[in-house]
Amino acid sequence: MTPELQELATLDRLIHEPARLMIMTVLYAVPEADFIYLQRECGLTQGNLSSHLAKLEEASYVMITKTFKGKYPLTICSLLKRGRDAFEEYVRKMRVINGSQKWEG
Amino acid sequence: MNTQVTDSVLQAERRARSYWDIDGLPIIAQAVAVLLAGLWFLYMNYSGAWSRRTSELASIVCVMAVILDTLRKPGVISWLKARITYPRTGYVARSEQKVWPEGRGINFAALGFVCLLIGFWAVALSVETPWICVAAGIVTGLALWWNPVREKFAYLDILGIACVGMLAAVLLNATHSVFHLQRFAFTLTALGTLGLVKGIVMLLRYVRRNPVQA
Repeated sequence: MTPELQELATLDRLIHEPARLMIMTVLYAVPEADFIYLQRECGLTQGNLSSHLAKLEEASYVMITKTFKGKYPLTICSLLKRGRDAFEEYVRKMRVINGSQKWEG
Repeated sequence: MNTQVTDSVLQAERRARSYWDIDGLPIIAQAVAVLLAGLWFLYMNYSGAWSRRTSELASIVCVMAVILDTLRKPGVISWLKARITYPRTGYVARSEQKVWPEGRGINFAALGFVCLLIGFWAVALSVETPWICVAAGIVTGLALWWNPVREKFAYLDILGIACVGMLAAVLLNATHSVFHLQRFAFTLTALGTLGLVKGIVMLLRYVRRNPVQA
């Protein structure tokens, strides 16, 4: 097995799922965002987004807090350090794999 | 980082940054500040309240300081957004990290400030055809209308652009050493009115296209 293939095998499956990768990408780019913003940006349904966020929260990648801006209730999501590190690691591994593809192509 | 993912992160960051202007509220706030300044100068001009050149200059500096301060503080805008924007399209915090290089932003701001000062000087020395400033304001306003505010433009830059337009118009006839505030007032009033119309149009479109989430 080549080292690149080994990298492929160690990819974080939690992040590798497309919907969760979208969520992580958006949250990596901003300090915090609320549920409606994430839903619009990722094009997910409420139930879908809730379940993916719950999985990311369970892995301590994302922090979810319920708060108010004036009278308007907000469900604010932000990436924790663990999630940020995991995302960067995921991208690093993808780059290695991508690099190996270019080498062989 | 992997290029595709890096691009996606940068794109997400840009979208979050431009999200602040999506509803037209910041433009309305800026326009109201500029319009009030213009109306204030018009009132001072027609009521004969201008007596000495130093008091006129002091007034200009004070009003501009208030405008800049208003543009810098997003308190009122945040309050409005909590009632209009967040229930419709959600909330996102803007990243402190700038996509546009910091040094370039400072250069734009410095250019704007220099133009502002030169603009005051040119207005103070000009007397001919004050209505040309209305044209300058309209042209500047239309230019801003067609070029939506992007993150690379700081608020000071926009004031600078306005002053460049005003300056170009004013310097054509700046041969008389007479203090004349009227054209500056007209320019600001025209610019503020156009900005207000643009902001209201943007807000109405935004509200119509984005109903409140159930």
